[in-house]
Amino acid sequence: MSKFEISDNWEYFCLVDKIKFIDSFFVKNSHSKEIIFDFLNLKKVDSSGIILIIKYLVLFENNKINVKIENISEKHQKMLNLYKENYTQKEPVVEYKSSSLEKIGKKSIKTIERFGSFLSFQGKIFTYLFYLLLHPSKIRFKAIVNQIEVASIPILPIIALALFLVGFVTAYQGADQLGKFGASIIIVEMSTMSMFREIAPFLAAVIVAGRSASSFTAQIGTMKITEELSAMRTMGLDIDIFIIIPRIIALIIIMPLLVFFADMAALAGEMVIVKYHLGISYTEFINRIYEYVEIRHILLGLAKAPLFGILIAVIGCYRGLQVKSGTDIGKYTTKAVVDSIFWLIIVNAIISLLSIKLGF
Amino acid sequence: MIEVKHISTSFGEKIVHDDISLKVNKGEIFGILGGSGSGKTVLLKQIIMLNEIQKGQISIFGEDIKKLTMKRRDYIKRNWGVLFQFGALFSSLNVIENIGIMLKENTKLPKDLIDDIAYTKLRMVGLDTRVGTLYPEELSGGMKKRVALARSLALDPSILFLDEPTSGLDPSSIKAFNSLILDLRDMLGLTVVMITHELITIKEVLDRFCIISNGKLAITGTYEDALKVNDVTINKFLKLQKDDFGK
Repeated sequence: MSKFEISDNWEYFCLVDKIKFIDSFFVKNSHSKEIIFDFLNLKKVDSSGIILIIKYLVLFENNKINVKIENISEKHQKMLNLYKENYTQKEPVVEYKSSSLEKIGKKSIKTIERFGSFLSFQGKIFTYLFYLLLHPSKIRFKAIVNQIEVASIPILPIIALALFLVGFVTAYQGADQLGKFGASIIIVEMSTMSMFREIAPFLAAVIVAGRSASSFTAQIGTMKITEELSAMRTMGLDIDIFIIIPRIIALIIIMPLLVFFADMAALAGEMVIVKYHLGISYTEFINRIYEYVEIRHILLGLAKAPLFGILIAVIGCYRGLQVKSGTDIGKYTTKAVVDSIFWLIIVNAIISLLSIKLGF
Repeated sequence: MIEVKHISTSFGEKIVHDDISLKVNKGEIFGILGGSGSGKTVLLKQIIMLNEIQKGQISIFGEDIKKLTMKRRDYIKRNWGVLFQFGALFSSLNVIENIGIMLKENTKLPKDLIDDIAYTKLRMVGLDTRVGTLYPEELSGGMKKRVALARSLALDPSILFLDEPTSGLDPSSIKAFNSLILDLRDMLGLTVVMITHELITIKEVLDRFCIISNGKLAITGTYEDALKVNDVTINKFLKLQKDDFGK
């Protein structure tokens, strides 16, 4: 019969040594019939310490070894009883392993379902837009104006600076290359055309996506968590009309304006670099654009802007409605921005191809 | 254990505390009471070093918390447990990891022992083992509070701060929670400071309490003391609670 002395302090910060100690004792005595735990010299013990002791008590008992407890103080006995009563071990978890085929299947079904729910959300939004066209009195003009202000004014400086620099840089690089053929003057119509058709609308949309898609998701997600949306529903206030449609209409209205603003900022960048690099004056530059760049180029850029606006707003709002708990907001905000930029690229590419094929 | 001396706090024009002083003794369950917006939580947050102390002095374990070195501050923080009103569990960790986090960060104990400790504490606060692998978002409000209590008990603190631990729980859970707090106090010699509204908790659990009203302490003392006092605010407060409970 061997004795194990539980002495000194058994507190969480000094348990590591005790574990080695008690474990070697267990290994040594795993075949004896009876052992004694002596609590005589125990000074201080906390719950971690007592649970460690209980862990080995249970281990001994499971090995059908009789454990005697000696010299335990009343306080420690009480603690021992309390924790022993509640002692629970981690249940071994049986992990279910699925085959890769199963995983692929599950994932595909989920993806299709998600895509379906996104389409149905879009369908709902368009029915509401149509409904509001027939019942214009229900349009929330104040909310729309408010959203227009919030979504457009603060990003004007960012768009101005970004597009000015992009225009500046593309014209500079292009003029340099074209100069090798002695045709650097062509840069005026070349960069202006590509700016009007592709770069300015796309970059403006990306900047709006970064700002508005994320803020829509965060705002709507927060409203969902604080149960504002549920409250509105119970009051019979339609969240599509009050929350979502105003945001979509706001972006439809501001996107062309922002694109036009971006066009002008880019043009300014080009004009400056062309003047100082090639020595072409502002009047000459404008005259050349007037002669060589048709109006349809700028119109194409402006025409796709509302489409981008719808895309950004719908994705932002949809992701916001998906939020279920407070921790989701960050996740879905990221998703909203990534998704909207991804779809902007795809939609822009399709429009670009179509417009060339159709001769716009 | 805790000594609050001449605390005054104001947010802009609004005066929250006006020269509040109180003392919490070792091994006692002390309640901070008051109507909503009376600055109970602000006072608690000042004690646990979350809010700035504007005027006055607070000492814990006899040390002024404004003048602590980093080391002492860490030591004190490891010796208290705080239970927030809505649990404040870490959303990226499951229940067992939440309970075991302090042990994992502060010791080199093996994982299976930490898990055993966490599961035992989980059972002590009256939850099922199956809850262990769930994440906070999958729990109800009451369960979150229990898990948070288990977490705050992980390192066997000597002071426990509870912010409305039983609000939103059903009556039987409140009873269970109260007896758990009493047991823990008797067993582990805890000092408990809690904000509460439940009359049953005030009556059966609190040794002493204070009522904050209009920025001042209306009373500090036991339940019997408070009933004897002939003061409109106190009577109103306790009587209203009684009526609520009587239903």
